[in-house]
Amino acid sequence: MRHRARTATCLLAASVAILTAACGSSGSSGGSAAGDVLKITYIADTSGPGAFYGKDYVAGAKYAVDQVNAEGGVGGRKLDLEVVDSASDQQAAVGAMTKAVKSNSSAVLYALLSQNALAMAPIAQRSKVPFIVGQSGVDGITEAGDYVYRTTTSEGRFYEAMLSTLHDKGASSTAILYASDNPTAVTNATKTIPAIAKKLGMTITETVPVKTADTDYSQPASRIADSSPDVVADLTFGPAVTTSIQALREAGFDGPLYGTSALGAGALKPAGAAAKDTYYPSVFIPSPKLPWASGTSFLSEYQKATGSAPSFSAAGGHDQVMFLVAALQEIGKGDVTHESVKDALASVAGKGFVGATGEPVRFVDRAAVTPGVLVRWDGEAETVAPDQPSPLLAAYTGRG
Amino acid sequence: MTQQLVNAIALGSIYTLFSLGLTLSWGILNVLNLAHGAIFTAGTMFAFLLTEHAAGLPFAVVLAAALVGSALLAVLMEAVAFAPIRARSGNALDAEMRTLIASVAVASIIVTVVGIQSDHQPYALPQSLLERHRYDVLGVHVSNVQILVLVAAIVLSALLVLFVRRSRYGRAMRAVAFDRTAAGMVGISARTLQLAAMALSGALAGVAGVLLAVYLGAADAHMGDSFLLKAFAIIILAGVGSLEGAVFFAYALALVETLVGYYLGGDVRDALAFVLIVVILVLRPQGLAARQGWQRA
Amino acid sequence: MIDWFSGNEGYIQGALVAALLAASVQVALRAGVLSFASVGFYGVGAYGTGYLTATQGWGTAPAAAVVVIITVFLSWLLALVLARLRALYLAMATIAFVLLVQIGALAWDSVTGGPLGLFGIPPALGTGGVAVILAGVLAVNALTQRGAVGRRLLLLRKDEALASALGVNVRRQHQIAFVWSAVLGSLAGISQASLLTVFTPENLGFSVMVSALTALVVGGTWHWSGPLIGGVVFSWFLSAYLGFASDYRGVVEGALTVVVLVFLPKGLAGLSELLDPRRLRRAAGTPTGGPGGVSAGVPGGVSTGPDRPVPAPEMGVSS
Repeated sequence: MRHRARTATCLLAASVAILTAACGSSGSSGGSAAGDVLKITYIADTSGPGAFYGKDYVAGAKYAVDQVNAEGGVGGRKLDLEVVDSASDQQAAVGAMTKAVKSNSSAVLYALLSQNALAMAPIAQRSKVPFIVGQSGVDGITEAGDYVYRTTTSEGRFYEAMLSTLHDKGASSTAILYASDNPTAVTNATKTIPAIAKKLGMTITETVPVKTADTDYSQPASRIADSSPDVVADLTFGPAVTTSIQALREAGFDGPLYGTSALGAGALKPAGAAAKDTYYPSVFIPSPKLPWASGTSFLSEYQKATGSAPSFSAAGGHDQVMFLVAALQEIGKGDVTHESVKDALASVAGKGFVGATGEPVRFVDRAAVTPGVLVRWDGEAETVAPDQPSPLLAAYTGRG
Repeated sequence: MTQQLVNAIALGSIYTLFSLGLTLSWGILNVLNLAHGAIFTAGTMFAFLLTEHAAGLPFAVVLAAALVGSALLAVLMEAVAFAPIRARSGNALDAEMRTLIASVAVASIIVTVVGIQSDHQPYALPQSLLERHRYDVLGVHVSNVQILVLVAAIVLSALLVLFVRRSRYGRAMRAVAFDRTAAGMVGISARTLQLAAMALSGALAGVAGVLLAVYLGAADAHMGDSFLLKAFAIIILAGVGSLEGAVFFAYALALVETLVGYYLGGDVRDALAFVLIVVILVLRPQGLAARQGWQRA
Repeated sequence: MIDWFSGNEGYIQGALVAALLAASVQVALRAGVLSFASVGFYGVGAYGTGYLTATQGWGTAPAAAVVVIITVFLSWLLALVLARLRALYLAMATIAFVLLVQIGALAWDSVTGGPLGLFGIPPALGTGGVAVILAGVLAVNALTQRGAVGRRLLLLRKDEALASALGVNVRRQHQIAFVWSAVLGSLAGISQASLLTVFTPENLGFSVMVSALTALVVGGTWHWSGPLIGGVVFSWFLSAYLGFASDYRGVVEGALTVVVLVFLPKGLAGLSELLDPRRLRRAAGTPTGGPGGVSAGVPGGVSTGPDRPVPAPEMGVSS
């Protein structure tokens, strides 16, 4: 018995020793970022449930790095993008983060899941490493501290313009169906939309929570249809989007729907014609009718370079890199340290930078503010919705 | 109110189809098969791939293919994982725990493959496979898919009950559940019987998966999970192995959930199934339906 | 070495918490109790610590102490309620309990932060602190694996009736195991909240139960080192070194688990036994046989050959 226990211990010790030897070489570098390459670590959920969007973020980031390097890099130094897969898993994301902050990367970028970003941000702040989050529905993320930025606009900010556009089209009442296990949906359903509706004089006929894993939407759908609203907010995710829209149609609701930016990038395809007349805000869509020039030129150049149209995620990944590049350009030939990058990011955030999602992308409290676009699903494809204000986000005042 | 009843009946039918397969494997093999939901998902994926690569096939053919595919998958799982583990396990607790984990491991493999196959996005069977129609009967909305699901649940559960009651295999299954060594007496090896039970269980999961994907309009890799836990509640309410009980409580749970969801809200409804599991297990562990569960006299 | 450690710290932390959680399932199982309830108390521990420290401004130490006391109390009550249940039925009831905790976490906004969860939890424990906790737990488990306590646990697991006849208070032993399991779960939760600084309902639930049990069984169900080995393999190696194949992580994990279940009944911890020179010599002389496989013939082994046939569900015994 005792002998066996000892053998097990030895085995364990041996495996740890082998591992130490194997990894020792990679761990010896560290400290400040220098040399003739500027390293950027991009942690992204390129496998697992977040992969569909995560891969696009990486594609956009890679495209941006290639563009910058093709033009000679920054201050004579080439960019070196290291992509680490966090596998849509919090432990993997935190593991990758602790590794990245000890590496010689000038900054760490991340996409996609808010829950993971929330756990990563304090690590970046504690280690004093600049951290740029690509997407986060959660507002609290930049509260971690002055090293943490986010380059997408909080989706709730677009809702006022979206609702007033629908109001102008004659909608005077709305019902809300929302995923009660999603923080963004909860905030928008219980706070953002009611406040806007009140302001516009719209009535809310019914607010129905569902869970993402729910399978039966006929009951919530009948409840909503029975309250006969003019428009319905569908703040659900994944397969629930299709299921809830079909259930709403089957329950007899035939009016327009509106919802989250998660409805973009083909999420409405399975619902097809049933989802006709669905509106949602987005920071970018691959349409030549996009109302800002840097967006349409990004679209055509990306298409030329890669052969496919960029999704809003690709635009997001691109802008994460471009934000950092703008800061590195500010540093120029100077010393690139975590400290100097942070200061340069703050300076760029003060002025804004030209990105795919805005010209310029502005910042308030280290979170991006972009013009945004209201999208309408016509049953087959996403289009720029007609009769929308430009910029969609009134708080974004455009150039100047 | 009548509308809620219609909704509850459709939901109950899906619960029925899902629970029957699970109660078979628990009752006969003593396996808490956590991969049942994954096999159910695999059924939808089989159907999806078939419609992708051979558009225009009639619905019945797609359903049959998914049935066969899921049955084979379940048999494979039994042959490669469950059977060897049972054979090598020291005692009952060990065997139960290890098959439970094996089922989780198999589920992880299936769900990952389906996830990669679908790009981790929801997927939908083509609308042309089964045109959806909505009928308005006395102010109540009923769809042809709801009717189809109900008919399928009734027919399949009736067939299954008949099979277990009347056929030689069915009697042997009941015998083996009562006593592991009894199968030989009926002239069928326990091995064959276990494979047959898993095949049947898998086939039911596949059919349920495709019907649900049509009913809901979309599927994804994780869709089986929430049904799994509902099905456990149903099986425990009914008493493990009781087919008639499972059918009854599938509809009962659907009805109660729909009503509770309507009047008391989603959180209470979600908690309902789990509270029932704990309460029933503590107060009446043989289930509510089982005057005499068919796995024990 | 220090660089290497700090570079891998996040993975190491994950492995430590996973090991604690796996150990919490193990200590129940050793007494013949197949319970997932400790995962529910993992949630209680994490939310309790998070609420008391981040929201109420307590220090981590008093918060953890209060949380552990609450855990002991609640788990004792739960043990009384679930006392009659065995095997799969107990597993089922405890799965339901964990999912109820998760639903509660989503619904009880004012304490748990709802779907958003709690964040800004002070990182007071650190990797070293959690390592110390784990070492203490494993030491206790290793000590109780042998001697009188170990023999009593073995007897309980193998044959309750016999244990009872020999004067072991089965019910009491089960309750003690249940509470100890809950406390370990709670410690895992306290550690996780303190290390991650965030805790959300997604950190809880079905997948956590599955991971804990899988890590345990692959590591070695009956050996004190099993949880540690399982935690290191799943939360560290498979997270950090799968690289290009990480899309297939679920397949790799699943396949590894099935292979271990079929071929290594004692998990990876049992490998050491296979390589034991004395055993190899013996094996060369007398080929092992019987369904007990590799474990048969090891005197005093914790998982020997079949002691009773695999029976039908054994429930309702007392009703």
